[in-house]
Amino acid sequence: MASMNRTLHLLIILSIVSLPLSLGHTIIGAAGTSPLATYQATGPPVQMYYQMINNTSFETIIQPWTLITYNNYTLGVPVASITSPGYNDNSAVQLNLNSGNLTTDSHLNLVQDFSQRTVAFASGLRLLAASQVRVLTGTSTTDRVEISLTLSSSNGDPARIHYVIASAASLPANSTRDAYIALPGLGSNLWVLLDRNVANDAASTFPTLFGSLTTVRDVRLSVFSTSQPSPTYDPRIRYFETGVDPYWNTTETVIFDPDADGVYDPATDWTLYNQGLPASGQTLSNDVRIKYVDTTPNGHWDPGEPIVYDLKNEGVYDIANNDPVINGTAVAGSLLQYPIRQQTNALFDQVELYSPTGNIDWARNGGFETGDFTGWGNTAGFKVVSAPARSGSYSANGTAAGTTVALAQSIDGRPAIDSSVTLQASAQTEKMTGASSSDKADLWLGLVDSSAQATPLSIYYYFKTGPGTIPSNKTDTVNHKAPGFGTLNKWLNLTQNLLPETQYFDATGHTGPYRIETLVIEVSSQTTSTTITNFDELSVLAASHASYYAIDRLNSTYLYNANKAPQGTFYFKIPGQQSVLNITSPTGTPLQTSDYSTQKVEGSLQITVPTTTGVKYASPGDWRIYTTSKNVLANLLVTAAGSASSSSSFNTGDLAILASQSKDPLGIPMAGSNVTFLLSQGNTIYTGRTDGQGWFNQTGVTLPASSGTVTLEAISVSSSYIGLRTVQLAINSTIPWALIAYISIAAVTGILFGLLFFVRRRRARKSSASTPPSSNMKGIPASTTRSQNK
Amino acid sequence: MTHVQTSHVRPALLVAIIISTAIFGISNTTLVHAAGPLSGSFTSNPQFFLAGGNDSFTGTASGGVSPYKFNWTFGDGPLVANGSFVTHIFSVAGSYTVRLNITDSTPVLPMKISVTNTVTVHGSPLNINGWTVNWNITDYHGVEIYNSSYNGVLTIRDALINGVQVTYFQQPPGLSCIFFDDLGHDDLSASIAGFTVQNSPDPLNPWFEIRANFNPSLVGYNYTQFWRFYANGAWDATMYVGHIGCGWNHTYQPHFRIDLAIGNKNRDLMSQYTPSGVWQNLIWEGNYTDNGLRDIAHNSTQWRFGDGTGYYYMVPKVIPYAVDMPKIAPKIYLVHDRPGELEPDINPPAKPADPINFVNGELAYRQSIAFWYLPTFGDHWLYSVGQTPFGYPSIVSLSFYPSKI
Repeated sequence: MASMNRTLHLLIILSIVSLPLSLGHTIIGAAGTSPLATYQATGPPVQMYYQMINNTSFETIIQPWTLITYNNYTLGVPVASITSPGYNDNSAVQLNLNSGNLTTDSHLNLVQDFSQRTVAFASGLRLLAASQVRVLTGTSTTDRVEISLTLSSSNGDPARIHYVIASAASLPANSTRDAYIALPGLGSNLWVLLDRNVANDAASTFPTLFGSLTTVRDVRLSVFSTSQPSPTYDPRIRYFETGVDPYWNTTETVIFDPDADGVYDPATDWTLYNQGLPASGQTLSNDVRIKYVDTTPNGHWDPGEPIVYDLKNEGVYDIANNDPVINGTAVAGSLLQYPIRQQTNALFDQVELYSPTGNIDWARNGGFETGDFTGWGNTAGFKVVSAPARSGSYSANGTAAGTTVALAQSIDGRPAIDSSVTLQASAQTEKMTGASSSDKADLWLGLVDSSAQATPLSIYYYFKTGPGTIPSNKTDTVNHKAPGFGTLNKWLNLTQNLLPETQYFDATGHTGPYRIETLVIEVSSQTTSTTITNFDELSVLAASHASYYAIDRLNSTYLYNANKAPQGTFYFKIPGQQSVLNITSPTGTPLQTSDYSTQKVEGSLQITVPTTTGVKYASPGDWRIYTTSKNVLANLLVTAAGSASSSSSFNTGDLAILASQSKDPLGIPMAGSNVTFLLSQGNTIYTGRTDGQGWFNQTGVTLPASSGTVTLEAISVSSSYIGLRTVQLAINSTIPWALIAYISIAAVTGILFGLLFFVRRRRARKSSASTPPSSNMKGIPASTTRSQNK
Repeated sequence: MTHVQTSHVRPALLVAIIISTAIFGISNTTLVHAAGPLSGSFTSNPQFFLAGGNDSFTGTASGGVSPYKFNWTFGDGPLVANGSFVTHIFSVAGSYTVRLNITDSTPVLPMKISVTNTVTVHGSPLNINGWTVNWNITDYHGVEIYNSSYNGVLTIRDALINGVQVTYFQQPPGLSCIFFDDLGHDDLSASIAGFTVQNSPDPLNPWFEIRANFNPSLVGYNYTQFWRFYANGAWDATMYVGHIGCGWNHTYQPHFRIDLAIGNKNRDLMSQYTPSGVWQNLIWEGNYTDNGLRDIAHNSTQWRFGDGTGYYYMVPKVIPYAVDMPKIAPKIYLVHDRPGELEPDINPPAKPADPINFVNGELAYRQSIAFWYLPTFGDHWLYSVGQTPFGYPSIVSLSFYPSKI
């Protein structure tokens, strides 16, 4: 049996070639009431959505959010604080900004930086938040409240998407790097809720850059406020008009009128500029161009502060314009205006960012199928060509004549290398005329280790070099020859799981895990030489697959791993007819059903492990989610060729038809499901896909030539479900051994009876006694075993 | 720093004592005792001469009959200067005998004395404390440091200030004030005693620095450039900005361009310290603004430049005089190293000069790179033509701390 199983395993592996969704093994069990077989397969990568923000609800502290202030005038007052209540919880964070000096804006940014985390930009990236505007006194575009995400691209161009919660004026115009999206409820003083598919928003607002976006660099909670200028005019400073004009002249006295009654009172008023005092009770006048330098900024004139006449009303003491000095000594260029400070105050709470993981290709446009270099930078020396192409319609052609050209991408999220990360590339060198070490075609990855110094490291894969050798490894660089190294005019294909590659760096004293930060393809040649190489199918794939388990006749089981969810908070969607069996925390503790929620979303079952559960079971590691569904392999039949009905009993060497039908848990036929038939005797495998009715039939199957019991196993694997079912077939011999045995026995019996009869006749003759008649005995034909194991 | 040379004349008797300083071997003080009634001396400024600096000499006389006539020769040519205060530029490094001839107004037979001293004019390179610093006075980019090494290891390929962008804002409608001030050779020449090499007063923290003050003939700016080199291999690039100019709010932005040499030049990379407390390597050419975070394990640094093993860790500092103005974060533009990429010396420019024009999407990771350092600050408490400088200068600097270089 063990030998048979080994053979079966081999055959199963062979079947993988034609069964892309499945990768597993089967175990045939003993017959009887127990299941005859189990099957384990690797399901498709599942897109998990991890909550990436640390401290989403500001219940006790603000850290690790970082406050950045610019031109804030709230001196000595905390501008960021925890306040109660929050949105559906105890507290929120409050940002309180008073605008500063006369500049374009003032702002507060509460930033969560993702330099230490990998937040992928991919389909399904989702931002949730709640915000409430408390105060917004300004009137300009730069008086607003927003939540924004900074996005990194693979060619270095950043972008920021601003979700505006309140704005005192129209939103700023969108640009290639900044997009402003007004939220429903804009300007409300109630809680404004945000739940956005960021990828969709970015697709519509950054159509050019979208294909290059790779990572979320940070999230910002921001308030903006802008001061408006106001002249440093104090109405208590008045002059005595000696003529008839409506303005001050240098020949007219300037008086400080503390009670601002507009009447000169020698007892209380004093002279600032004396050109002859008026009589008591004389009316004093104002001139808005009489201004003071507010050296102790408080919005009014203080004794000792210079007073000048701003001839052009330009807000500055301008000696080039001969602004007269009325009192004190003014410094040229002094401001004669004062900022009217504005305030913006807002609350933020429940800020959550769900980033997709599980099936990320960090390379952008690795097949160049956009027909251009979207996603790539440093493009000099490269062009997109339609031939040769390893796959699709295009590849990238690099031509180096006496130089080095390098086409590159950055991966700002710096994903860690684990067993799920695979590098793939194809290259075809058309020409390499040089023979020096400067003549080469290669691909290299820039890595960074996890030490405090973030040491940069490199892995090189050479497709061809001039001398036919590759450089020696260095402490920070490991070099490899790609499969087929050195071959001209042939596509060389590289597929490399990267985790083993990092062992070299472990050995050279570096600190894992190692993270990828750059992907570069490089073509180089020495002076007077030329190298031409094409590249295609570049990918840096991180795929986390689900595990599918099928058991004969029983419900199927599925295991999804939430690998190292950063905050222990995540959600994901599974096929709607699966149901949760169990969820275990990283320590293996089964969750209570109240620790997670499930809901049907667009036909899928969304499973959410909330922040509270992440806190409750706070421990780094992998969460495991077990689900189940009805066995989708609904029917398994075997029919003799030419027969209209199924059977479980056949003769040796019979031609048969194997038929299976796959139905989803609701009983709806599944089209396109991958089915494998496996006959235990003869180790025969048949594979195919189900039709629109869920059927996959395999005709012309020759049953074993020897009699006995044979197990037929059928496995159905789709992207959503799995099922397994077995039947046992009785294979009967076509030679009439029973008849031959009957005849033989009858003949022997006849002979024996004849002999007995002859002996008795001789004894009877001798004894003259009579004999009674004999009984009739029959043999029992060989039994057959029938199984209706469906 | 002023140094004194004196002379007393007694006919037929002249005793000279020359005291030389130990540092740089410069003979800078001469005492001459004379028995006669006419005596004289002169001082020089700065203390240490650098070729190209406009050095000053001040002669004094006593005894005899005043007024006195002062006549100078400097030992580098036939040039003669007259007056008690004169300036002179030694164009070439070397030792020169400076002679001051003093003539009094004694009727019929005026008394005459001569005071001489040998001065040492330092050129490029300066070899001090393990440093070999090559420098050059440029036409527009101030004093440029190039191909300089520490303990024999090349560390600075090139460092200069291409200019200072001065941009005004909130100015009255219709006015436009944009200047891109250069640090010209002529401005250095116009600065008396403004070009020198100075030493640390603290023996526990030895350093020397090249100081270059740019005093333009036209109003608009007053800049002083410092290249300071420490005995432990650290160095600073610093600029002082004086408070002059016209009267509206504006920003100053010196444009430093720096190219370092650490290990394999083609494997350079630059990193920035992130708010998450980790260093992050910079991949592309681009603008990397100071995020305010500092690596306290490395002298509270924000950026670093190196080859992956050895680094210069860098600390930006901006200390504006006008503290009420908004603080503007300094920034670095990381570029592929092309020494010819300099903003043109056009003043005033049609629009603010900005080396971001040299950032064009090239890979800057494990490549030959350089960077621009652009500290910026606002100012408005200014003084204008003919007025006394008001307050202290604003200061910007970038300090470099070596690690495993």
